[in-house]
Amino acid sequence: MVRSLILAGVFAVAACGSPPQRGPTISVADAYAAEPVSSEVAAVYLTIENTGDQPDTLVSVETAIAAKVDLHRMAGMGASQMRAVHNAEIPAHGQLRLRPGGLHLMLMDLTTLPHAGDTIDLTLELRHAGTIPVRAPVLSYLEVGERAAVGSDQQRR
Amino acid sequence: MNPTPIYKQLAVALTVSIMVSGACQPRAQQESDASDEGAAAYGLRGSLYPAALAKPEFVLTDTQGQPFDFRRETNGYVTLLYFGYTHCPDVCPIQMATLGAVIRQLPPDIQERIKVVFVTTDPARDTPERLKAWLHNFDDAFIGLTGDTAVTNAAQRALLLPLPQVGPTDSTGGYEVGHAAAVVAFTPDDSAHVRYPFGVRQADWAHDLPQLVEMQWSDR
Repeated sequence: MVRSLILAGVFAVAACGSPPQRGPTISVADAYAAEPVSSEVAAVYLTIENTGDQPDTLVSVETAIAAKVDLHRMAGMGASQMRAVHNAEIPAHGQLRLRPGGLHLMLMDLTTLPHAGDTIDLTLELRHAGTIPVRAPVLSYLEVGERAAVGSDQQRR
Repeated sequence: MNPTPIYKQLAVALTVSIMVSGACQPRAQQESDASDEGAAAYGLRGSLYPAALAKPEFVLTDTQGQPFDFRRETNGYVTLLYFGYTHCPDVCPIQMATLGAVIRQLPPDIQERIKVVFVTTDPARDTPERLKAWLHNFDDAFIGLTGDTAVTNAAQRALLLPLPQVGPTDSTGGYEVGHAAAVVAFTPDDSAHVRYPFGVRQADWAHDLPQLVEMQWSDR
C-alpha cells in the first residue's frame, strides 16, 4: 500500500540562511482518507514531519475533487467540538499529526465521490517548503476506526 | 493492588460531588468521571459511570416519520445510544461502522437483544429521510431519531454528556456540530453503567456486547 509520498521543493529554503542552520525539511507520511458517505464532506489524515532546524507552516491544501479544504481540530474532553485551524505550525524537529478524532483535513462539497480503494490527490502548500503533492488512499470507516483505536490507545489507558 | 474498595470509595465521592455541584459543573468534566478501571473490575472494556444512569424518557421522530418512545421501545434491550449528526466527518461514521460490523458478527440470539439508536444533534439538516439514508451505510436495523433540540438536549443532560455546539457557517454554507463522542450503553436493567469513548476497537465491542446482554450489576 502506498503509505508515504512526497518531497518536492523541499530544499528551496535551505540556501536562504548562511548560518549552518538547516531550514525546515519537510516530508509527509501516512496519508489516508475516510470513504465519505455523502458528497458533502470527506476527512483526510496525514503526518507532516519536519527534520529541519526551523519551523514551517501549513498554509493551504487543495484538491481537484473538493470545492474547499479546511484544517479542523476537535477540542474538548470526549467531545468533537470542531474548530478551524489556520496556519498550523510544524515545529523544528517535530511533526504535525492529523488523525481521526483530532486534527483532520475536511474536504467540502466533493465533485466526485471516492470509494474505498481509490486515492485522493492533494497539494499541500507550506510557507517555506512550498507545494507538496500527496496521494491519500481511501479507506473504509471500519479501517479508519481501527487506526483511530491504535492512535488513541495511549491516551485512553 | 486491590481496586475494589478504592473504587467504591471513589464512586461514592464522585456521586456526592455530582449531586452537590450538579448543574454548575461543565458537562465535559462530568463526562470524564467515568473510569476505565471501574469497568475493568466488571470485566468490561468501556468506562464505568460512578453511579448508574437511568434510561431517559423521551419521544422523538423515527426514520419513518413516526413517534418513537425511546424508553418503551428499547425496554429490556442492550441499547447503544449515540448523539451525532450525518454531516459528521469521522467520529460518528466510525462509531456506527464499527458497531454495525461487530453486531453483524455476533450470534443471532445476542444480536436480537441489542438496539442501536442514533439521535441527531443537527435536526435542522437531519430529516428522517436523510437519517435513514445515512444509517443505511452502516446497518438498516439502526434506529435514527430526530426532533426538538430541547428534547434531545434534556436527554444528553440527563446522561451527563456535553451539549452540542453548532459551529460557524463556512463559505460553502455548511457547518459542523460539536457533540459527545461516546456511545452510552444501557443494559437490560434499563440503566447505563458504562459508556464507550471514541477509539474503542471492534475487538472491545465484540468482547463486551455478549456480556452486556447478560449483565446483572447485582452490587450496583
